[in-house]
Amino acid sequence: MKQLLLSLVGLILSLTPVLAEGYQVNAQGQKQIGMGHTGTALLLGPSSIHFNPGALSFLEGKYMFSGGVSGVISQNTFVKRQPSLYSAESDNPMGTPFSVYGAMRLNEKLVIGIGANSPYGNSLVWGDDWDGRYLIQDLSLQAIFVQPTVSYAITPKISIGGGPVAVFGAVELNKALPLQSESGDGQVTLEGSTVAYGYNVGLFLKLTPELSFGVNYRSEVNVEMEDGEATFSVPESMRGNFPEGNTFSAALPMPANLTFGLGWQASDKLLLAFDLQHVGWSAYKELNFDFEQNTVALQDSENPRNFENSMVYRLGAEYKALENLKVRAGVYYDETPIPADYLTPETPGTNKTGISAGLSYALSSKLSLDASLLYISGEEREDGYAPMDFYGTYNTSAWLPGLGISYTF
Amino acid sequence: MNKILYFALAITFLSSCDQEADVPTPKSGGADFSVFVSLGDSYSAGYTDGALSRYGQESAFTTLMAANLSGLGNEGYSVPFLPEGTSVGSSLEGKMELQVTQSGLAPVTTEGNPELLTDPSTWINEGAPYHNIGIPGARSYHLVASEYGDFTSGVGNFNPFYARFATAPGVSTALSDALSLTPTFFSLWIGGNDVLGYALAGGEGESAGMGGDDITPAPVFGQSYDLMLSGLTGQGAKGVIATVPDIDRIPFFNTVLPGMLELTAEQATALNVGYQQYNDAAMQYNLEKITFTEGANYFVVEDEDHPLGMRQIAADEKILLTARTNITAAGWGSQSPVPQEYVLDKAELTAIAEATVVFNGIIRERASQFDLALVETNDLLEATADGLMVDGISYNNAYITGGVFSLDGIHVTARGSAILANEFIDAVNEKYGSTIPQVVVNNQDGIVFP
Repeated sequence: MKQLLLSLVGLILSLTPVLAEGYQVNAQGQKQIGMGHTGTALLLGPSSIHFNPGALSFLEGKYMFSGGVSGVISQNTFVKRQPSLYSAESDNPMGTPFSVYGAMRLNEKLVIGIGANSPYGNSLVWGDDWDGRYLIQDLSLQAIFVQPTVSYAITPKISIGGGPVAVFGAVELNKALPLQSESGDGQVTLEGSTVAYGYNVGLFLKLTPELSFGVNYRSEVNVEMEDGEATFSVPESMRGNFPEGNTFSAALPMPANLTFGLGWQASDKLLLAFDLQHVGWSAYKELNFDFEQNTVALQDSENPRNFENSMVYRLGAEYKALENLKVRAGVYYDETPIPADYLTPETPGTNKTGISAGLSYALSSKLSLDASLLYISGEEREDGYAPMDFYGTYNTSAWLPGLGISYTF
Repeated sequence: MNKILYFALAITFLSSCDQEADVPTPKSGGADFSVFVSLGDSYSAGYTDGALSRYGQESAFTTLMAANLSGLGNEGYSVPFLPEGTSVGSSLEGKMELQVTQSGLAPVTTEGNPELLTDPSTWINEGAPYHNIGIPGARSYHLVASEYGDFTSGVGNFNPFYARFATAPGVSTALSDALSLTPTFFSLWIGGNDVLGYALAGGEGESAGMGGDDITPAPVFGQSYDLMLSGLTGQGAKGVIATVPDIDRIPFFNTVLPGMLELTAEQATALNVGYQQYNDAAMQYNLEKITFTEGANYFVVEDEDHPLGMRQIAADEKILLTARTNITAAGWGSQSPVPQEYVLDKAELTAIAEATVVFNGIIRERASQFDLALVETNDLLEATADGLMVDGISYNNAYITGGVFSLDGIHVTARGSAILANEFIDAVNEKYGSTIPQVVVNNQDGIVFP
C-alpha cells in the first residue's frame, strides 16, 4: 500500500496544462472524471475530501483510500490576425494532475481525512522564437493543495465537513525582451515558489433514499509570491539597467468555487449526477510583477487580466454493468472567464466541452481499479490581448487518460 | 501487464494526434500582382542607419511587401542588391552602428564600401531592369530624367545609386526601366526629398528651385508625378502611392529640442559674462538679450537675418540631429551659435509645411484621378507618435529607443519597415479587395545593441 502511494507520488513529474478554463484543472478523482467531473452530491469515496467534505461522514468503511493520476496531452494552435500566413503550435509537456485521499472513521458520525491534489496549474511551451514571444515563451505554473479534513454527520440525513488548505505554489515563466543584440532578443526568466492558505467546506443532504444534494465551497487562495528570482539576459551595453540578483513579487489568485450538486439513484444500477459550479474568476484582475530594483529601462510590469466569474455545467452517469464492473460517462460545458480583448497566449481560454468515460473494476471487495478518459474540445476563438495588440485565432484540445485505485476496508 | 502496455500505446496514439493550424489562402481580389515594381527614393531602396546596405535592401518595405506577393501569382521581384555584408551612404560612408564609446552608447559611422558607387566595374547594369527601383536621394523629377544616371557628367551631376543599376545609364530613366518590365502592379512613393532636401540643408536653399537644397516647384512635382502615373497606368497597371511625411514626426528634426541646453549655475554665470557684450548691443538696438539660468536653456543659434547675427532659438524652431555631436564637443548653442545650416527657423518651417501640404494635395488628387490605393504616411507617424503597440512591443518616434527609426533618425529600422509595409498592404487590400498577408513585424530586426 505504502509503496503504491509512493510510486503514485513519483508520477507527479510535472503539473498540467490548461484543462478547465483559466488555469484551473478539473481532474481531482478518477471516478468523478469519468462522470463529467460531477461529485458534489455523490458518495464515490474519500475523494469527497475535495468534492464535498460534507459527504465524507456518509461514506462506508473504516479506512478509505483512493488515488490516481491523469496524463494531459494538450495542444494549442494559433493563426495570426488575418491577413497573415503566420501560425504556431504549442509544444506542451504532458501534464500529470494527480490526487490522493485517505480517510479514517473515528465513530459513526465522525470521519477525518487528508487529501492532496493539483486543482490549478498550467504549462505551455510556445517556443523561444514564436511571434508572441514578448508576451510569453513558456510557462509552468504548479499548485499542490493539501487539505486535512473533518466531517460530521449531524443527523443520519445531514452531514457537514471541511478543512484548511495549504497550497504549495511554484511558477516559472520566460518571455523575450525587445532588447536586441547580435545574438538575438533579450529574455527574462521569473521563477519562485511560495505557500498560501485557504479552506474547503461542504454540506451533504440525503433528501430521500434515492436523492442527494450537496453544496461545496472552496475558498479563494491568493498565492502571493515575495522574493521570486528575476533573471535578465540583455545586451552587454544594457546590463547596467538590469541589476543581477533582482527579485520580484507577484500575486496570482486561485479562485473560489461554489458548487451545487444533485445525485439521483435512478435505478439499482443507474446513478445520475448534475453539478453546477460557479468559479470566482473575477478575483483575477491583473498580473503584476513588482521588481525589487527598478531602473529607467526596468519598470514594474502591470498586466490587466479582467477575468469574469464563470459557470461550469456538468452531467454524469454511472451504470453497474456487472457485479464487479461499473462504467461511467459524462459531459460538461465550461464557460471561459476571459473577456474579449483580454485573451493572452499564456492562458488561451475559450468555452470548452468535455466528454468523458470511465470504469471501475473491482479486484476484490476492498480493492478496485479506476480508469477514465476525458476529451476536451475548445471552441475556436478569434480574439486577442488588446494591451499588447496580439490577436489571432486560437484552437485548443486535450486528451486525458487516467488511472487510479480505490481501497476501502 | 498487457493492460499497462495498451494504456501506454493509447497515450502514444493520443500524443500523435497533432492539430495543424489552418491558415487561410491569400486572394488577389481585383488586382494582378504577377509583375510588381516599386519606384521611389531611399525608403523604397531600403536605406537605413545612414547608408544603403544589403541588410537594408532585404528589409525594405518594398522587398517585404513583394515577398508576401509570392503566394499571389507574383513571378519574381529582383532587387539591385549590394554584395552580402556591404553598405554605402550618399557621402560614401558606411552604415552606422551602436557602439560603446568614451561618451557612452552612441551611433558610430562605419567605413563601408565606397567602391560600390565610385567604381563602375562593381555595378550591376547587366541585370537590369530591376523590380525594385528605389533610388536614395531621388526627387519626383529625377525618376523621369535620363541625366540622373549619366555617370559621364561627372561626380555630383548624377546619382550613382541609380547609375549602378540603370538599364542604360544616361539613357534610361527609373520610369522607363519600370515600364520595360510591363508591370501589372506598382508602388510609387516619391516626394520626400522634394521637401527633405531643403530641410536637411537647414533651409538654406530656395523655397522653389531645382537645386539639391531647394524645395521642388509644385508644377514640376505635379508634372513628374503625372508622367509616371499615366505611363504606369497606361499599360493597365494598378498600384499604391503614398503621401510625404511631415517632418514634425521625424526624429532627425525632433531629437535636439530647442530648450535642451542643460547648465549648472556656474556654467550659466560664465556664459552670462561671455554674452555681456552681445547684451549691451542688444539693449542699444532694443533686441532680446541672451540669458542663461541654471537648468534648461534655449540654444544660441546663428541667424543671418538678425542684426547681431545670432539669437536664442524659439521653442517652435528646430535643430537638426547632426548638430548633436558638436553641441557636446564644441560648445555649439552655448559658447558659439549653432550654425544656421543646422537650424530650421519659423520661415523655413513654414515653407516646408506649405510645400508638404501642396505635394500631398497633388498626391491625394492623383490617387483618386488614377483610381489608386493611397497610404497616408502621416496617419502612421501620428499613431507611432502616441506609442503604437504591435505584437507585444510599443513603438514610438523617439530616436534610437523608439524602434521605428534607425540610427540616422530619418529612415526606418527593419521593424519600422515592416510596419510601413503593412500600411501599404492594408491600403492595397482595402482598395482592391485582396488579402495580401501582412508582414510579421517581429521577424525583422530592431535596433541592435552591443
